[in-house]
Amino acid sequence: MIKFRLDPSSGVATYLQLVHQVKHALRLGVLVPGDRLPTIKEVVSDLAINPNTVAKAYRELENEGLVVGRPGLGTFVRRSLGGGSTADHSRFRRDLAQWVRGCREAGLDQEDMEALFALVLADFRQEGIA
Amino acid sequence: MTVDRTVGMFGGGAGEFTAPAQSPTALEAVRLAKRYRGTWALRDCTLSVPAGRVIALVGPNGAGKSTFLHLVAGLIAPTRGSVRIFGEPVGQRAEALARVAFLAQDKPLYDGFTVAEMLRFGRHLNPGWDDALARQRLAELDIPLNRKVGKLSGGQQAQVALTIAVAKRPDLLVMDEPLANLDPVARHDIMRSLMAAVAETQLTVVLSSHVVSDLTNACDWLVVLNRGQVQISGEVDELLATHRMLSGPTELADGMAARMPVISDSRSERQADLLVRTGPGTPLRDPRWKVSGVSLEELVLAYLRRPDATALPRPTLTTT
Amino acid sequence: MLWLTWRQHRMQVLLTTALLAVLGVVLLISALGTAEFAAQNAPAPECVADTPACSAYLGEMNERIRTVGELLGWLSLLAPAVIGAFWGAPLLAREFEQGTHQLTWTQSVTRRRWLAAKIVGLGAAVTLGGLVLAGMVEPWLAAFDVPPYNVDRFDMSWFRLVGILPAAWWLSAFVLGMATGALFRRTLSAMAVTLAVCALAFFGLLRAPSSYATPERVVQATVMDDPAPDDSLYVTSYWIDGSGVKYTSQERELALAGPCGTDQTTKKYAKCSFSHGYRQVTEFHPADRFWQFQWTEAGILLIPALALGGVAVRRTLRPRI
Repeated sequence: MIKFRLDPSSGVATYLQLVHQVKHALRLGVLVPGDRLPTIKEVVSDLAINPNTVAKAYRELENEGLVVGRPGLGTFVRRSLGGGSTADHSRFRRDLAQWVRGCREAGLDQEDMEALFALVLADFRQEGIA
Repeated sequence: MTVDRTVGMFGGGAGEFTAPAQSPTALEAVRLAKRYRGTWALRDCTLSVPAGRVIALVGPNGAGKSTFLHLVAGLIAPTRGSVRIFGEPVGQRAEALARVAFLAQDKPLYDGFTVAEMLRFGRHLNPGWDDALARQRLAELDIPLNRKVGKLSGGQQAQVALTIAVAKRPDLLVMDEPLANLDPVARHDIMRSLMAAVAETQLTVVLSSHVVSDLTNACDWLVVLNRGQVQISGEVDELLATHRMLSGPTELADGMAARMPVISDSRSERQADLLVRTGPGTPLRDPRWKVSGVSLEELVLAYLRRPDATALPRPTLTTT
Repeated sequence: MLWLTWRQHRMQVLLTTALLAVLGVVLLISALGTAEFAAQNAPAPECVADTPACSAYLGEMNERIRTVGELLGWLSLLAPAVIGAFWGAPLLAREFEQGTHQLTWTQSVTRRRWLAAKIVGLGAAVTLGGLVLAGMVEPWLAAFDVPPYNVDRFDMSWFRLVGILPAAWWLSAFVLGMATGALFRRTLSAMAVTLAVCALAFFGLLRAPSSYATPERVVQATVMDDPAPDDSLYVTSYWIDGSGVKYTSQERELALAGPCGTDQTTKKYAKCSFSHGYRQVTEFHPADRFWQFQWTEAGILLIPALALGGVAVRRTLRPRI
């Protein structure tokens, strides 16, 4: 079972943090289909957050078809996550490593790179919506 | 980095994962007012909150928070107006008292009683008392039943007081500054067990605090009282979704300010930062403006500095 | 509710019960000892006071009743004061002081029921305590009432220790303490005020019973040992002359100094004054006024105390904190 933790300084809504953590665990294989997520009471008595927030996160995961709630039993993982094949993953990783190397040589530090990456991601996202 | 908060859900859209819309009204105040010796502690307070929520009541000291909570708990009678809990008026009747539990700021307990005697007190004075729940909670918290209440730590006393309030099995739990005078660990512990109780018993909770950060993750409804009046009443997620910080060139600020309600407006020679309230369907696609989300704390602060600005539900709520 | 009242006030209840029990034992020992002494030593009832046997008996009885009687005399002041300060004053004041009224008033019991349980429960206990005290003092007094020694309960030394008066004093002090506690909301100030008012009431009423009714009057023209009948409440005595004018003893002394001499202790002097037209007047209340006086004083205490208590209860029941 996974244990949630919150990053109060992230600025990300709490329910989204929970959603991201479940997805992250699904991507890494920490959670596999059939696993039970902690109950709402377990989560709230651990993190001191509103039960509705947890319910909202679980509903969101359920809407995405990642988990399924079985009344009286708990919430269970339905399918795992991870876009693309493992081969794709290693290819993108190689490409990214190359890019990082290029940045280093051009004198960019880690924060510069993160900012650039986030900026590009944001641009794409805006395009997607507009 | 505000990338994560520069979300594209501008113009509403939050609230679709919220509690079912048909949930009954837990707490309703209509033109509620209280005067103490010629001074209005609370004036014309009208609000309505659905059941199953954890409601944060915030505001500066002297804003009327305690007065409001005492009125809800039936400890004092309003000068004007009325409070209803699940449709029933509050007051000095046994049925009305059974529906609300109140945790006063100092979390008073009888110091000479043992914890077990405090439970017996709860059992004798409450027909709906849930002794199993009380004992289980105290066992989970490792609070010895045979210890005198006065010998417990402040955090443990607060837990005993909370346990008594919860084991009464009220529909509404009212807490006046539950976290004041507690150390950080005790604050967290109290919130944890409060949230567990909410998850377990479907309580509706109203709690006041003058420290917004204490409540950010625990509360899903925000009521801001300022100078005896309700300034904000709304779902936290919706409030966060409908308020944006816009940063852009100062020369464009007036034009922007004319388009939507501005809560806070800080301008330098070049850049203006406007905290605005956006209605549904008011998208902003001007690339010269950077749009970012606001935290609950920023939002509350901005409103408290502008007592004339309000964020209240649009008049769709039925009033009686 | 009664459990809560008992749990919160059991210290006072237990302590008062214990003190009453100790007093009961003291009174019992004293009464048994006195009864035994009286049975063995009582001379003929009509003995003359000057005879050695008679005066020795009276002296011993006096000594015996004095030791315990002094204690009881203090008790009739202290007991109500202590009841008011320790049973009454903290009853509501401590709740307000520690904020526990906010806890109790938000349970599922109305303020009215909570307050009723406290006041009725403890008020009944206090009244019972007062009645028990009277019930113990009366048989103790009876043990001394062996002629020629005479004790009567109408006597001011015992009046507030018998009948309903201990109960009336205790109950009104309790209600007074409760009321001051509710009005001041501070235990210490409520205690101080209660103690002060109890002392004032005690000393204010100390000699008051003789004026609870118009006394009966006996005008004597002959020498009598005790003009007031047995078990009556002596009020005063003075002299009048033939035309009914009142004389102070000094004026009479002056007038009689020539014909009758100055030694006023002899019967001859008295006879001489009677022969000069002076009459001795004695005012007293007959024994059958005992209960009337008991109820009069009970009313004097209870009516204001209960009125104040009513105000305090109304204020407490008002929805404010």
